[in-house]
Amino acid sequence: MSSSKPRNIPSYPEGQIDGVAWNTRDALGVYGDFESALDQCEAMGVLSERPATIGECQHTNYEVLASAIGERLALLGYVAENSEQARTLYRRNKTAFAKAVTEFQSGAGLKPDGWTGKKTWTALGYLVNFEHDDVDHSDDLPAPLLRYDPRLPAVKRAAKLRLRILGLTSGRPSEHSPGPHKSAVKRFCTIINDLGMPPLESEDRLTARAVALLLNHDRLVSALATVSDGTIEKGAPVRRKRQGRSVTLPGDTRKSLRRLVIKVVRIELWLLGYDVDINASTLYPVCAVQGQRHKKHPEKTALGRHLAEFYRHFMNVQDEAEIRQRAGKIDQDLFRAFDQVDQADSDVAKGQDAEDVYNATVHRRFENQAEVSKALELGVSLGLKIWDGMKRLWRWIKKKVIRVIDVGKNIYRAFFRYAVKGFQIVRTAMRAMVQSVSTYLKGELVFGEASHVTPKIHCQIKKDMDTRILISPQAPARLCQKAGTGLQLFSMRFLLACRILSMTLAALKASAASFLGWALLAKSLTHHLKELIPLYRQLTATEAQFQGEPA
Amino acid sequence: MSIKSALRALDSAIDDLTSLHVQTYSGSIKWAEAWKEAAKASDDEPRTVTSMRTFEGFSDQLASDAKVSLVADTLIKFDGDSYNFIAQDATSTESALTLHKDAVEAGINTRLGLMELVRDVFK
Repeated sequence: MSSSKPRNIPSYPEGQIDGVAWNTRDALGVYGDFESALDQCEAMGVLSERPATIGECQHTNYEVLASAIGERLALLGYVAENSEQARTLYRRNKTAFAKAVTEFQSGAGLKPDGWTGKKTWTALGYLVNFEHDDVDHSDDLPAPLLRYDPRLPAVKRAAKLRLRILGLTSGRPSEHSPGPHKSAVKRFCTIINDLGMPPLESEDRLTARAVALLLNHDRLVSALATVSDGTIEKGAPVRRKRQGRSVTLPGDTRKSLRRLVIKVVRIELWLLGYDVDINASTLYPVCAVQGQRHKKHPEKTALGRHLAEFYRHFMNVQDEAEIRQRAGKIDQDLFRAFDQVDQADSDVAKGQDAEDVYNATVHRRFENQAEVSKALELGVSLGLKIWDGMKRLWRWIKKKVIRVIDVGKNIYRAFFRYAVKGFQIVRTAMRAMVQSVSTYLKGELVFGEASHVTPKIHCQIKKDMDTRILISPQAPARLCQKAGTGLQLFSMRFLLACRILSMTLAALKASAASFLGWALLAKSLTHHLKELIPLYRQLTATEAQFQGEPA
Repeated sequence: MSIKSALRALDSAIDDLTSLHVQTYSGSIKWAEAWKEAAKASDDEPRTVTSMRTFEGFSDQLASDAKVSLVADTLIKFDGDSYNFIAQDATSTESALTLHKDAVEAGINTRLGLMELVRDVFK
């Protein structure tokens, strides 16, 4: 919004916004007036230009992020300005900002593209922040940076920055002097070794382990909390053995130790939320330094008041005398208390992992087009999986339904075939019955001649089935065989006819009855059909044999 | 042929269902010539008419005709007794005896059908 009020601002009919107006006037018309007024104001410069695209929105958001990036780059010496000025570097000079980012990326082993994405932002936090969360950065950061390889320029700058914060060097990282001086490194390593912590590989050069101890504040606090009992309370020994020789610690080492311990305490209190000035005075009783006495009135200093609050709130110490006594000095118990609080925070953080992951996944805002595209692909993939599952389910249902229909069809076909077969049997049986009855009534069977005048074999059959056979001397043997088959065929036909007649009589008897009679008829038909089937087959075979035999 | 007429014929024949008699002869008889003449005179079912008429007088014909000889004779009684005759001097062949055997078997089966029908009618 512009601060100067331009002239001739279009008036908006405010009275039409009230409920009465909305009820009495076309809503779209009112909205159109509002839009028109906005456009006119925008054209006159009363309103700043609204972002028209998502890219512009991201550009605006990036300005906020760039201020934090500029501050971190300034701390690492990539921007030759103080932190306050570096915050506005992106807005003032985007080229310089991109150049600084590119330089940092090169120094950290990242792809130098000048854009602060997730990896660059994570790397900055990894090198500048006091605390490192327990998130695995192996996907975002290159391996040398992850293990604090001191050969990386960015790691050297971060080490120098941290040594300066801990009061072990006065210089800040810069383009001309990016890394820490050897004396500062030696001072830090000497303190670590003198306090009885796990010794560093070298006191003269920066190692990865020394950098890790420097840059990870929690690790440094934990190391201070685990030194030998009484080391800090009694003070570091003035004389100690080094390489088999007893030497006296130099005075600046004792001063450095005091500064480092106090700085660590200030940083820890600041991280715990106390309004502590990290760069304030380093004059406070530290038992590790010889000659330091307890403050009788710690509440008179800012650090003493913060320590008292820490014991009161975090360690649940209620006795004011004890609080005053414990806050009046910095000793090993204080670092143990810090470590205890850090561990508790870590446990809480671990317990919130699942919720954090959920929030990060579900409520996270997409920050660039790639994430939007990735989410879209994920959604499409999920949708395709669901669609595929539904298609599989539908195919399964269809397959089952088709199978049921096939079973029904097969049952119908089987029934139809059985009915056709039964009809065929009955038809053949009826024909056989007619033929056999005809032969029975005729009383003779003749074989051997087309003409009936001179039969070669003449069978006379009486009604009681008494039979006389006259074989002509001219009848060949095969004709006798055919005549035998013909007699058997007649016999079978007659037998079949008798059974069909019996079945018909049963049907007639059953039809005279009621529904129960029909049921009995069905049972009778079924029963007789079972008996007819083998006879039918035998008859069919005999007929085929009779037809195949020569006359 | 209706079922009614068949049942009537069956009824007339059922008197002699107590035995089955099968006879097989070899040779030629004179009634065959008469049958031939009858066929010439009328084409109206000559075989049926002739055979039905000549069946009863068949034995007499045989007695007067020396050219016909008995090959085999089988009589099966209702109680299961059976009598079988096979001529020793007959000029019968194995095929004639086989035909006789088939005729006996056919007669038994036909008789069986009749018995079943009677049983089912009165059941």
